[in-house]
Amino acid sequence: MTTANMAFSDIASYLKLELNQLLPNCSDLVVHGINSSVAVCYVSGLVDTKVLSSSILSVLTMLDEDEVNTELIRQTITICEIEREGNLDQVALKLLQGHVYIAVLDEYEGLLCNIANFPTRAISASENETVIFGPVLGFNESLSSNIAILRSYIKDPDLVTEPHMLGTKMETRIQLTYMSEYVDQQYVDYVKSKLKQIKTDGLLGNALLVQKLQNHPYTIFPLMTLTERPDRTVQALMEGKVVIFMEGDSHVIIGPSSFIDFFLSVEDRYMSWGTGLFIRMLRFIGLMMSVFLTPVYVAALTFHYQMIPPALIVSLIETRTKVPFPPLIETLLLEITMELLREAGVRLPTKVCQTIGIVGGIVIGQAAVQAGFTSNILIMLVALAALGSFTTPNYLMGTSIRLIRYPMIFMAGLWGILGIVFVAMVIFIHLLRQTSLGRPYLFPIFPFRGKDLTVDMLLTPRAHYSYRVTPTKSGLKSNETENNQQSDTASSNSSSSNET
Amino acid sequence: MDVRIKPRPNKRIQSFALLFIICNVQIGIGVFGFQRYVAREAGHDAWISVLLAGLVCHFSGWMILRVLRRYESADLYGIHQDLFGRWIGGALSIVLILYYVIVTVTILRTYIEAVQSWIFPEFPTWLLAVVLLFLSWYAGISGLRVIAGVSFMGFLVIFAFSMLYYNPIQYGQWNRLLPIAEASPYQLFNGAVAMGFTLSGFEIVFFLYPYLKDKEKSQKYMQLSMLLTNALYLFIMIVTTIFFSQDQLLRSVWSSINMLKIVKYPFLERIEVLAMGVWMFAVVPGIIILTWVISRGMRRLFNFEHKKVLIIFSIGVFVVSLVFHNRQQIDMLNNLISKMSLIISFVYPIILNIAVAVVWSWRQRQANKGEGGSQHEQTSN
Repeated sequence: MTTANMAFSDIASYLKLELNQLLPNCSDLVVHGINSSVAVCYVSGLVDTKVLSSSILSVLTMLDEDEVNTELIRQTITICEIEREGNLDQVALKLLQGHVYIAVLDEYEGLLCNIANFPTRAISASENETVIFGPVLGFNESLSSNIAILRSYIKDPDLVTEPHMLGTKMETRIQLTYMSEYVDQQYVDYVKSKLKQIKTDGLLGNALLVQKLQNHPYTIFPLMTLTERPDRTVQALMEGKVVIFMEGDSHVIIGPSSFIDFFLSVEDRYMSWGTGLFIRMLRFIGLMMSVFLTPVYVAALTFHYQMIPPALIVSLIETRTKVPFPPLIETLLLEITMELLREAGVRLPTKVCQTIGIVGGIVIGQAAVQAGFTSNILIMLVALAALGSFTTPNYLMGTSIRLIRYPMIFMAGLWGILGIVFVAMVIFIHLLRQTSLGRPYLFPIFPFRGKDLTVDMLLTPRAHYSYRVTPTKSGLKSNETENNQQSDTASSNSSSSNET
Repeated sequence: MDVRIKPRPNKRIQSFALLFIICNVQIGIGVFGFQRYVAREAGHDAWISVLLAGLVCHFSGWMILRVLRRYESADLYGIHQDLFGRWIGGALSIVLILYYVIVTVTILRTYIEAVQSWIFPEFPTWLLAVVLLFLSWYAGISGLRVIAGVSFMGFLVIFAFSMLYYNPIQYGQWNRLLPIAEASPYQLFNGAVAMGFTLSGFEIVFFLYPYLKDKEKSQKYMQLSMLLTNALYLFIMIVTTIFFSQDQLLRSVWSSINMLKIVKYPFLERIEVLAMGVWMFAVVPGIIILTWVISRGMRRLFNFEHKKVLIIFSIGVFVVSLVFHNRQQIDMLNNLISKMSLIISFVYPIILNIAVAVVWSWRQRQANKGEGGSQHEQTSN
C-alpha cells in the first residue's frame, strides 16, 4: 500500500525505512499511511483490530491533512492509554507488545496507543483438575483475565499483585500475589530473593519456575502446588500463602505447600464435614496402598511366607503354580505394563483411547493369567495400587508416588521387609529435608502442629469452616497497600506493567 | 572452646521434641529382651524393680536439668571444661565420646543380631551395618530438625507396636504376679540395677539443651518423656510376667518379640517379622542422635567438621561392629556397657551436681575476696 509513495516527504515511507532497520525481517509489521503527513504502524495480530478501525483509523481519516498535529490527535481519539514517544528504539519494543504508533510529519514525538490484544483462548472449565461438585471455572493463559477472575472473588484492597519480569529474551511477565494482611512476610521475601537470582532467557511455564524456586533441585517431589482452579487459589490466598501468576500459563504456583496439601482437593470442603473427612481419609489409604501393596506382595512371597495365614496362602500358591518367574520379576513386568498402558492412553488421540481400555482389560488381564505370565492376585493388587495412585488430586504428586514404588519393589525383592522399611526411611528422611519457600515440607506433621493438622484433615466440624489464617506480626500493612494501589492499575491493563 | 554455645535460631528445636528424642534413645533396642535380666534378679516381682528404676530415672533427669539450668546454655562438653579445666575436662569428654561410640556399636550390633535371629539368618552383618549407617548419615547431615523428625516417626512406631501387646494379655495368667513383693529389697535393687542400660540414654539432654528454643519447658517434656518410657517398660514387664512362666522367661532372649508371635489377623500373622523390620524406624533415630552427640563433641573439642566426622565415625563403627560375631560376644558387650551406663546416667549427674555446687561456691568466695576473683566471676556468670 505504501509502495506507491516513495517520496521522502511522506511520513509512512520514512517510518517504514527506519523501523525495518530496527525490526529486520519482521514481516507482520504494518506501516499504514493515512495520508502524506500521518502514518500508523503496528504489528498485525497483536492489536485489537476492532478498536484500531473504530477508534483510531476512522478518527484519523476525518482529520484535515494540513492542520493535523499530535495534540489534536491525542484529544480526538478515544483511547485511554496514550503516551508520547520520540525514541524509535522504544517504539519498536512497544510495537512488539501490541501498541500502535501514530506519527505525524515534522513532529519529533509520536503517539503510542495501547490496544494490545494477544491471542488467547476463552475461559473454560479446568480440565486437569476436575471436580464433580463446585465451581468448574479454570484459569486460562492470559495473565490479565486470570487476575480479573481472582478479583471477582476477592474485592479487598489487601490483595497485592506485584509485577515482575523474568528472562532476558522472552520477558515473561509474572505477578506475585498475596493478601498483605494474612501473608507471612518471609515467604514473600523468599520468593523475591529467588526471583532476583534467576538467570534465564525466559521460562515457558510455571512448572519451570517452581523448579527454579525450590532449594533442592534433585527431589522427585513437587515442592509447590500448581493449580488451574480459581477457588483453590483463593483459598490459598486466604490461608496466607503466596500465589504466582505467569503470562502464558493457565497454572498458578501456590506456595508454601506441604506434602499433605497435594492430597487435598477443594471439593472436600464443599461437601458436608463427614463426607469430606471420609474422602480425605480414603485418599490417604489410596496413597498407602499404591506405595506399599505390591512391595509387600513381593516381600511376603519371596521371603516371608510365614506371615500369610494358611487359608490365604493356599489360594496364593495355587494362582502362582503356573508362573515361572520369581515374584520380583512378575511384579515388575506387570507394573511396567500398567505404566505403559497409562502412558499410551495419555499420548493417544481421545478417539483411539477406548482401544487402550480393551487392550488393558482383556489382553493384559485375561491373557496374562491364562498364559501363565502372572497370578490373578497380583493383577488385582497392581490394579488396586494403580487406582490408589490415581486418587491423588495433584497430577505431579501422583507421578512421584508412582515412581517411588519401583525402588521399593526392587528392594523388597532383595531384602524383603527390611528393604521396604529401608526405602521408606530414605524417602521419609528425604521428605524431612525438603522445604517449600523455607517452610518444612512435612509441615503439620513435623514440626507437629495439632491445630493445623485438624484443619488440613478436616478432623473436626469446626475445622471445616476455618481457613488457617495467621495475622501478620509486623506493621507492614500500610506500606503494602500503597504498593497494592499501584499494581492495581498495572494489572488492569495487560501491558502497562513495564512502566511501573 | 566456649563453655556456652548460642546456636542460630533456625537450628534450634522446640522442647516438645525432647518427648520423641529421649523416648527413642531410651527404648530403641533394649525393649527386645530386657525382661530376662530383671527377672533373673527379682523373679516375678520384676515389675517393682522396673518401677523403682523408673523413679530413679526421673530423679536423675531432674538432677541433670538442675546442672544445665545453672549454665543457661551450655552442653556437657562445655561444663566439663568449666568445672575441671581444659585437660581433665577434655579427658572426661573424650571418655564420654568413647562411651557413646561403644553404645552406638552395641545398638547397631544388637539390632543386626535380632534381625539375623528372626528374619534372615544369612543376612550379612556388614551389609545391614552399611544400611543403618547410611540412614543415620543421611539424616545426620541435615541437622537437628531432621533428627527430631525421624525420632518423631520412631516414637509413633514404638507406641503403635506397643498396642499389639494387648493380644498376649488375653493369654496371660494374672496369678503369676502373686504373691506381690516376695523378693527381698536387695533383690529388687539388683533388678533395678539390671534396668540400667535399658533406661539409660536420657542423659543426652546434656548435649541437646543449648539447642532448645523454650528451655523453661524442658523439664516438663523430659519428665513426660521418661514417664512414657517407664510406663511402656512397666507395661511390657507385667505382660511378660503373666505371659511366660518364670523358667520360660529366664530362657527366652527376645521375650518381647516372642510374645508377638501369637498376634494374628485374617490376612497377616507372625507379626514379629513385620515388627522386626519396622523397628528400624525406632533403632535408627537412636543411632542418629548418638552420632550427632559424638560429632558435636569432636567439633567442640577438636574443631572437626560435622560432615567429615560423620563419615569417619560411620566407617569406624562399621569396622568395630564387625568384630563381634556371636551371641556371647554381644552379651559381653551388653554387660560391659550396662555397667558403664549405670555410672554415666545415674551416678554421674549426682557427682556433677556436687562438683557444680563446690566449684561455684568456691568461685563465689574468690570473687568476694577481692578483685582477683573478678575474672572468674565473668567467666562463670
